[in-house]
Amino acid sequence: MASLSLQHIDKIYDNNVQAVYDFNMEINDGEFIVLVGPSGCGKSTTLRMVAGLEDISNGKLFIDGKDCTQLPAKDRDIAMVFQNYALYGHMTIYENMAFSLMLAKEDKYVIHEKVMAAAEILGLTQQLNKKPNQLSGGQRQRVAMGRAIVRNPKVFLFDEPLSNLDAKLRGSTRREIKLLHKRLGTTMIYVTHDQTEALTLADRIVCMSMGHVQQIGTPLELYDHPKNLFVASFIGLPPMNLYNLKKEDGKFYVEGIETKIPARVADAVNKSDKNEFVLGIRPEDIHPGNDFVLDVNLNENTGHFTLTHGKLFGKTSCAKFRDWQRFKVGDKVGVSFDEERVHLFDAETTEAII
Amino acid sequence: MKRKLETSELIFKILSYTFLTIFSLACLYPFIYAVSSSISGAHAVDYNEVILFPKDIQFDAFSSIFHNNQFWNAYTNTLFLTVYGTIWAIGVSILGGYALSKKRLLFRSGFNFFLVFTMWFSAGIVPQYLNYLQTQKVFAAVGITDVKWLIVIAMGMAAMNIILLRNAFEGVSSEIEEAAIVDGATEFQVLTKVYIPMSQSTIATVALFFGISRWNGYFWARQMIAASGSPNEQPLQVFIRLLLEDYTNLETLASWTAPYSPNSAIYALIIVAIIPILVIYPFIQKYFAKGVNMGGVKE
Repeated sequence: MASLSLQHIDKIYDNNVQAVYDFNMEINDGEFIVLVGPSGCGKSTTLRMVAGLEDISNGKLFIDGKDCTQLPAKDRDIAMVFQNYALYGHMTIYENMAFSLMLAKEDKYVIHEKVMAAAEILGLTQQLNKKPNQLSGGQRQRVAMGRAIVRNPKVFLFDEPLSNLDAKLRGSTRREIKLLHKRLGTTMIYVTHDQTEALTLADRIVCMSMGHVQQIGTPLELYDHPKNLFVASFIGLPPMNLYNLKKEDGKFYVEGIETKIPARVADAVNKSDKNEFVLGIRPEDIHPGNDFVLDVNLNENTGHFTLTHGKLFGKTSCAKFRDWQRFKVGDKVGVSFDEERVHLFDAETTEAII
Repeated sequence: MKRKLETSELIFKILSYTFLTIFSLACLYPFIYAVSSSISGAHAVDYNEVILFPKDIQFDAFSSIFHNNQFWNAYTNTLFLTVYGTIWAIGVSILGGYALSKKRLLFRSGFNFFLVFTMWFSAGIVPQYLNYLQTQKVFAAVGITDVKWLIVIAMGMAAMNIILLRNAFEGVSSEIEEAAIVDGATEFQVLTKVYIPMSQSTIATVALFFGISRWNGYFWARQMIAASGSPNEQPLQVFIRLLLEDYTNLETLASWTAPYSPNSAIYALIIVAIIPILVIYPFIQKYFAKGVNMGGVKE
């Protein structure tokens, strides 16, 4: 178990492409951190720098107060779980899990004890004599985790470990990882592009885009108070509805249509010296009401709620209604916004205003 | 129910089977002929009466070989060249192939170019001969005078085999290497504990290539032994060839009064020379089709 400190970390490749810009973060002992963002945002590169598989171009990395910036991967006492499992195909499951301990020349009785304990946790006791190609995808990923567990490392790193699993297995393995974290209490850093994984697993999420950290916070902080347009649109499924908002001669225009806006937003707009904004509202914060009109053109029933798509202010929007099948295609539905949950962003800087 | 074959399919099958049968018989016949001749009597062999089966069976040709010191000397030399030659060559090729498989290797494309270049444009016999003579002098300077070691070490590199191994190592997923590094393996342990076992089918193939070429090695062994002037170092293939070139040499194996033809002695020698390869082949073959890389990573 360990705390980590990442200070002003940059990653610049030999061809002068910069993948990560000024990454700063203090990670507490036992925390579960998820790095999330679209492909190419620098999240895996950051993880690989922590692992020691990539050099750190600038900045410092401390693990438990020890400067590990230049330390080779094998001396950092970290364990990593890879997206494609990366099991040793020629070894049995037992040997796969025992490999790191054998390299460390541990006593073989100690190795046996640790492997058996890890296999017990992961339900792999029956599989220990098999080869990786005899196991299912979910079992193989558990072996990869077992390989990490036996070492009792300071930090666990996960690089998109669930990407290769089917949807059902992904859900159950995700819960296993969460339980594993509870049980072991080890500091974990987890990379994913799947926001559901990020929101369900993390103590704190780091949302990244184009090599820059966009926001660091708890899942609810990112969801309820996104710091900028990127985080607002990336976190949340279906994504937040966004509309251009203009102030002209004391009147408000949403997507070019003059309209009244919630008082809280109007206050914020009036206080600002700017004229162009982006208004954001999450699908579940749109309720039946009589402020605006939603022109329904598609319903997606999921059982416990309905995603109703349609035109709002002339722009394709999505609302999430509890009472499903209430609205039909072609209906013009009166809706209102949950005023406390409307978001406003500066159109120029994309920073959140409220 | 089995589908009835169409006429064209039937004709194709008949032709294929006929061709393959004739081809295998053509491959098998010389071997059968050699075996039959080696155990047939002198008259039958000398007057070309042996066609398929042996006549007037005798085993004296074999027994005279087994009692011949020169033969055992040559056999030992061949074993030496094969065992040490294969170990040395496979070792060099694994290290070379592994280094060349790494994208981070400095001047990688340059090394690859020079390697492949030698496959397309061989230097030719004379420069190679002069090169070996030079190597021999260098070896002599450091105290290695045994010409067998010269053959083992100087012939340890084969571009084709290095490329085969390089490709096999490139086929191992880079995540596996990274997993091993994170697990605490040194570069050498990554090679010996992960890459080599995961590429064992290719390594077995390459080892067989090297083994057979060392066992059958004739030309350079003959040239270098002639250059060094130590006939006791000659391997089996050179020994057999010298017997064939000059029948008077054969008298050591088959005197004029022996109950078998000198040709039988030669056939017996040939059979004794190929048996080890026939014996080893099935043991190595099992590695060929086997892909141990499967299942470790999700493609």
